[in-house]
Amino acid sequence: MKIWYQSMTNFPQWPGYERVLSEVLDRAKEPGTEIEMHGMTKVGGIGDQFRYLEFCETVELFDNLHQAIDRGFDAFLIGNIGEPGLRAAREIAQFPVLGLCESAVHMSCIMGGAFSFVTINDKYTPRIVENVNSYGLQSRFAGAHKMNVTRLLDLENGFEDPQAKARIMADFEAAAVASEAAGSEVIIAAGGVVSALLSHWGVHQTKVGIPVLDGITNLLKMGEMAVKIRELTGGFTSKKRIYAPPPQAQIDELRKAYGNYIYPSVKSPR
Amino acid sequence: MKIWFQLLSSEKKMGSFISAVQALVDRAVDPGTQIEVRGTSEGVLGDQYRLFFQYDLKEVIKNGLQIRKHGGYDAFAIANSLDPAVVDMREMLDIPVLSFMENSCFTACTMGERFGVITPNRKMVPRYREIILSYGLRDRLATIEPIGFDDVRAQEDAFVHEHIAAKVEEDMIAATRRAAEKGAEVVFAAGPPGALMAQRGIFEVDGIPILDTYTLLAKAAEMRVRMHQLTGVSVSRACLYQAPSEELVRKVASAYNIEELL
Repeated sequence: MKIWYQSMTNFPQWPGYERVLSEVLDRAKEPGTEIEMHGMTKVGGIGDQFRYLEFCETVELFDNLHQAIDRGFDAFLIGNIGEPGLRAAREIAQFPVLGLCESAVHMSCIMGGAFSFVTINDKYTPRIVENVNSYGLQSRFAGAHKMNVTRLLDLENGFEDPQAKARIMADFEAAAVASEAAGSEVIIAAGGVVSALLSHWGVHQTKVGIPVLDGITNLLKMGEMAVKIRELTGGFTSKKRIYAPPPQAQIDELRKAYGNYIYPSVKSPR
Repeated sequence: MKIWFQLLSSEKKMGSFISAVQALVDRAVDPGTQIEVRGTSEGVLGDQYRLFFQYDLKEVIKNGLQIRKHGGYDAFAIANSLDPAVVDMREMLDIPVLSFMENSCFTACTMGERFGVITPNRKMVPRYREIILSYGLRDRLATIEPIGFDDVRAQEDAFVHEHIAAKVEEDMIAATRRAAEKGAEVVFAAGPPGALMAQRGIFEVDGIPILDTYTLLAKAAEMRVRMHQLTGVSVSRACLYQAPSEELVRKVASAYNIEELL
């Protein structure tokens, strides 16, 4: 199977992350799974904690989704904790589209009674809370506890520099302690980069024994599972209601207004 | 990898259903995965009644504790939709313990915004509601739709007689349509009718996906084993699934004379 892994980072600015992400995915994938990692190449990739910048990047994500469809991929994984474009991507694609946050929250609910997030900074917290609310899982949510990384690129140093690693780890552990005090039984690192750092360092539990979910590995494994289910049953994403694309009867009119390439799976009635 | 796949159905009296599940999971697993589909001695005779359910539950616990004692399995998949002993086994086992219902509900939430559950009979509706609410998924549940198996054991007949299978298929289609009218985007059957639909190659009705629940559980079990191998973690021991100390296990085993724990 061919899986498209979409990061919202600009890889040339995140060489450590690119290398480690590739290692984490390679270690976790099944024989026969082929993964293509993609970052942001046209815009941004360093500041998606800001909603406007995330919006700018999401345009490229949709371009990439269309490429994945054209090139015959079997799944599209959004490796970003904000999951920009997740619902729209499910409207567009026939193959499974999974997100880092939703997959991590679902798995955390299976692993323990309550989960929490460690976010990179306070700015990101409301975004995460919005996601949890949209999943309907508020009753399992033990809160979001922040680290103090205000400039995202500062995380990149953690892949190579032992001092940066120590600083980031201490910051993470302090937030993890607050999570445990709030009743969390499973911690989700809110961000692909922090998740990769922790996986790279082999951190799967906090010092006090609370599991830290390896969100990237989990996303990949869930993606592989979804592909296999689709192969066996012929479908995965429901195309009723929320993920329904426009009906055939409207597609020509919509293409005229929005461009020919929208919703490639919807055939023109002409 | 080797997975214990625990149904509640009687091995003696629901053999056709058990064979159907074995065939479904065998077609789906990766090379190298062995799934052992097991039932109980007398199970699913009247599990809509809480007391009768308890007698089947005991056997699940016994099987789980045997695995704890003797090993030999990489995951314990509880393939009954009433979540028998899920928390109990997660407390006691160090391998992943999966739940049919939990796995089906969370996967359905990835596939659509709201899901519907089809239950064997009306009596079971509140029980399933309780289970789904316990997951925190109140807002994602569109409806629970019963079909007509007041005698739950009679579900076996659908795997033996074509005319009964055809009737169950018809009931499942009608229930899926009712669920869709109430807002469900994905549905699944809590129990054997799901296996029947999969066996008959029916995975959707009017574009509404019907989960192939047993296959899904088998694939999830493989995934959880791989995650366990990769990270060393399968469950949090912080609170809900905290394990008892070995000293307490010994004390309880001796006081209650629990052979599997001795």
